Amino acid sequence: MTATTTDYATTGDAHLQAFGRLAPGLPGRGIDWLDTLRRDAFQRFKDAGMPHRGLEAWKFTGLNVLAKHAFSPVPEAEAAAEADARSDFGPGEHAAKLVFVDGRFHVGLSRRPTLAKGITISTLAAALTETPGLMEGQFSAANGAAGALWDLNAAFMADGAVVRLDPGAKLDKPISLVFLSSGAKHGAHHVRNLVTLGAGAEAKVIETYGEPSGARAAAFSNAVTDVALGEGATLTHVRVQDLGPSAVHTARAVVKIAKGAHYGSFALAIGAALSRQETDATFTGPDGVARLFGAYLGRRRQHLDHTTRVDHAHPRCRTEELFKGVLDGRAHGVFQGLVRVAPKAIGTDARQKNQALLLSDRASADTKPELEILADDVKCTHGATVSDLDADGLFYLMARGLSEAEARRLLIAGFIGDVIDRFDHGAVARHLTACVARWQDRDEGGFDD
Amino acid sequence: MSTPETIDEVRALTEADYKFGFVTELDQEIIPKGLNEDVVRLISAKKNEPAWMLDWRLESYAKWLGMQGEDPTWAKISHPPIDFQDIRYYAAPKSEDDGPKSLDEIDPEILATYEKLGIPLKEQEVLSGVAVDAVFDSVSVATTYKAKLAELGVIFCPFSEAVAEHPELVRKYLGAVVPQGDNFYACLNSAVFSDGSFVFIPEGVRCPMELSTYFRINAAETGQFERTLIIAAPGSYVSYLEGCTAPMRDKNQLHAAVVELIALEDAEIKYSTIQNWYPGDAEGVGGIYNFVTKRGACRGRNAKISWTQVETGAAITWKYPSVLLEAEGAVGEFYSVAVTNNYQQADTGTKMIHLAPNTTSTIISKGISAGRSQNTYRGLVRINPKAHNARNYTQCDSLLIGEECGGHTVPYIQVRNRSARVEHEASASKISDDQMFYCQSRGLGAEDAVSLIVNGFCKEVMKQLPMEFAVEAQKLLGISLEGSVG
Repeated sequence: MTATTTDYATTGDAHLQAFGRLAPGLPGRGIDWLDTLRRDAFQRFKDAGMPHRGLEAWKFTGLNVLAKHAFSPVPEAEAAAEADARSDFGPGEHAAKLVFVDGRFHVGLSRRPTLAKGITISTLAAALTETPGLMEGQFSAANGAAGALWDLNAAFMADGAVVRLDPGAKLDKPISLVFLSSGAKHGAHHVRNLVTLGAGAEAKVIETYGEPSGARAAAFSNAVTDVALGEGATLTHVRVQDLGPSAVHTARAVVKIAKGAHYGSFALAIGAALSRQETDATFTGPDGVARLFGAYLGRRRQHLDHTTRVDHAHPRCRTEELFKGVLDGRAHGVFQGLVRVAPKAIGTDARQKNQALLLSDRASADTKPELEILADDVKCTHGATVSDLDADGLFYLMARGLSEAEARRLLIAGFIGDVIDRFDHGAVARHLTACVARWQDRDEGGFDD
Repeated sequence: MSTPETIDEVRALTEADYKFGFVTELDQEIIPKGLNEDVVRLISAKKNEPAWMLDWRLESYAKWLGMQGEDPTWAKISHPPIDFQDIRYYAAPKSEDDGPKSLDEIDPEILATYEKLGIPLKEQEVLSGVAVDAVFDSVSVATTYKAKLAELGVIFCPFSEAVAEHPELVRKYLGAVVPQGDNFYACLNSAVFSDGSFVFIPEGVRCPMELSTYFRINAAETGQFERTLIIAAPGSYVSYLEGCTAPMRDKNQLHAAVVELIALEDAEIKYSTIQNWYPGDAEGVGGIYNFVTKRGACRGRNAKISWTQVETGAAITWKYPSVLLEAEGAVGEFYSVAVTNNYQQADTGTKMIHLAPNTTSTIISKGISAGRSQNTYRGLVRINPKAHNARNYTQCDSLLIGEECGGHTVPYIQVRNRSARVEHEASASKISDDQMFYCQSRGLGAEDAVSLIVNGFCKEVMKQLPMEFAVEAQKLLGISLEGSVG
C-alpha cells in the first residue's frame, strides 16, 4: 500500500512522478479547459520546483521537510480504506457539514440537509461531473515561482467543497468543511474549495484541518480555497488548522471582493509541525471591505506562518488586519502582510497590525508588514510588536492569588481573545475561543521540548 | 572664534597641504575607462600606496570578479544594467607645480560651485568650528583646522594620507565593519576606492568641532568611490557631517561609497549626511546612482552610533546605514528624511542588529514622494538570542504628494529573544486638504505651504541635525519639492 512512499527522494519528485499515473483518475478528466489548466500548472511546477528561502515570499519559511520526506499524492482507493476517522472537528452548530478524508469527500461522515433555495453545497468531483459549465473560470491560477504550491494544487486537486449562493441568498449557520488526514504514511492531498456568493448573499464557512489522534505518520495537506464575492455579498471565512504534531500544511485563500462586498476572515493555527496559511485578497470593485484576522499559537518546534496580501485595485476600499501570535518552546512564528494600493485607488483605508508574544528563550518571531502605495489620497498604517508576556500583568494576577500557570493562561487567553473579539461575537467566536482553550489544555501536559 | 589668527592659521595650513593647485580651466588627470587588475594597480600607484594597500585592493578586486552577476536586485529600484567597463575609475584634479598663495588664487569656477553649495571656502575660513576637508572629485584639495585637532590628537585627514601616515590604524580597522566581500558595490569600492576621510578620536577626547566633508562629483563619467573610516576610541565623541551635491550631467554616474564607523567603549559617533547629488532632470534623464554601504559597529560597552540623513538628491538611492550593537548597553539611532520627486527612486533604510544585552535602537524614517518618484523604506531589526532586554522603537512615515508617486515600507523584524521589546509603527498619507487650506488661507502660496508642512512632517529628524546643516536641509526640502504642487 505504501510502496510509493520511499521511491522518491523528495515530495517534489514524488509529485513529478505521480502526475502521469494519477492524472487520468483525477476528476474532470476530459474537460478541455481543465486538462489544460492542470497541465499548465504541472508544467509551471516542474519548471519552478518547490518554493525555497531564496524567494522573497519564502524568506522566513523553508520547506526542507518536504525534501526530507517524499509525500506522495494519495490514490483514491487508499484514501477510502483509511476513512475510519473521527469526525468531531469543526463547530458543533452548523447548517451543513462536509467531511473530506485525505482530500476526498466522505459521505458517511458528512451531513447535507436540504438547504433553502439558491444555496448549493456540493463537492468538486461531483460539480465537475454534473455542472462542468458552471465551473469554468472559477479556478485561480498561480503567477510566479512563489506560487509553486498553488500550481501543485491545481495539477493534483482531487476534491473539495463547492459552496454557491445565488444572489440574495442568506445562510445564518455556518457551513462546516472538515479536512482530515487519515494517517496514510506520508500522504499528500490537495483539496480545492470554491466559495461563490452572488450579489447580496451572506454566508459563513468554517474550514477545519485536523488529524485523528491515531494518525500514524505525517501528512502533507496543500489546500486552496477560491472565494468570489458578488456585489454587496458578505462572507465570514474561518480556517482552523489543528493538525497533528508532524503534519505539514500549506493553505491559500484566493479572494475576489466585488463592489461593496465584505470579506471577513480568521485564520487560526494551533497544530502541525509546519504550517503556512496565505490569504490573497483583491478588490475587484470600489467600496469593498476586507477584515483579515488571525492567531497562531505554537510550541515545541512548530513553525507557523501567516502570509497575507491585499490588493487595493479600486477606490475607497478598506482593509483591517490583525494577527496575534503566542510562541512557546522553540516555536517560530512568521507574519508577512503586504498591502498594495494601486494607482488611482484613492480613498483607500488600510490598517495592519501584528503582535507576537515570546514565552520562552528559544521561541522566535519574524514579522514583515509591508506597504506598497502608488496613490496619494490614502490612509495606511501598520504596526508590529514583539515582546514577552507583560510582567506587570503577571504580578497583578499572582498578587491576587492566581498561580503563575493560571495567570499566564489567563493573560494568553486575553491576548488572543482580543483578536477573536474584534472579529465576531457569536457562535464563530465561541468556536474559536474553544479551539484556543484546547491548545492551552494541551499545554498542561508540560511538554516544552 | 573666527579670529584673524585662525584665518591665518587656516591659510597657512591650506597652502602647506595644498598639493594640487588649479588654473582657471579644470584639467583632469584621468585614466581610460574600464576596470582590470592594471587599473587597480594604477590607482594604487598614483596614490603612492604601500604594498599592503595594493594587496588589499587586489584581493577585493579578485573577490569582486567572483561576484559578477550578484549585484543586488532585491531593492525596489530599476535601472539599465551598469556597464562597469564604461566607467572611469580615477580622476584627480591636475597637479600644478606652484600651488596658490592664498584662496584668491583658487579657480573661481571652483569657488563659484562651492558658493552654490552654500560652502564658499572663504566663508569656511571664517565659519567658526567647522573644519572642512573638501574632496574634489577624488583627491582632497583642502584641509583646515588641522593643527587645532592635532593638538588634541585627533586625526582628520584624507584617506590616502592616513594610509601613508597612520598605516597601523588603517590596517587594523579597514574592512573591520564592512568586509571586502560584503556586497557587490562595497567590494567594488574596496578595489578602486579613490579617497575619502579618515578620522581617529583618541581616548577620552571630545572633538571640539563638527568635522565636515563635502564630496562632489565634477568630472563627467567618473565614478566616485569614497572610503570613509571613523574610529572613536574609548570615551571619545565626534560629530561628523557629510554633504554632497553634484553638478548637472547627462549621463548617469555611479557613486559607490563605503563608510565604516567604529565606536569603542563609551564612545559616541554622530554621523550626519545631506545627500543632494544631481537627481536627473524633470524627465528622469541623467542623475547619480548612489549605491552606498554605510555601517557602524558599537564595539565597546555603552558605545553609541547615530546616523542622521537627509536624502534629497540622486536619481537612484540604495543605502542602508546600519548599526551592529555588539557590546552591552550599546545604542543605535537612525534618523532619516528621504525626499524623491520627478523620476527619482530611493530604496533606503537601516539595519539594527542587536547582538548584546541591554542594547537599544531607535529608527525614525520620513519618506516624502512626489512627482512620479518611488520611495521605499526598507529596514531590518534583528534581536539575536544573546541580546537580553534589547529594545527597539521604529517609526516610519510616508507622505505622498501627487497621484503618480509611490511610497513603500518594507520592514523586517526578527526577534530571537523573549525579553526583547520591539515596536514598529508606520503610516502613509497625503498632505490633507485641510492642512493646505489652513496655510493658504493665511496667505502662504501652495509651494510655501507644502514646504512648511513637509518641514513639520520631518521635524523629528531635522532637529537631530547639527545647526550648520539644519538650515541648509530645510531649504533643500523646499527646493527638492519645487514643481510638485499646483
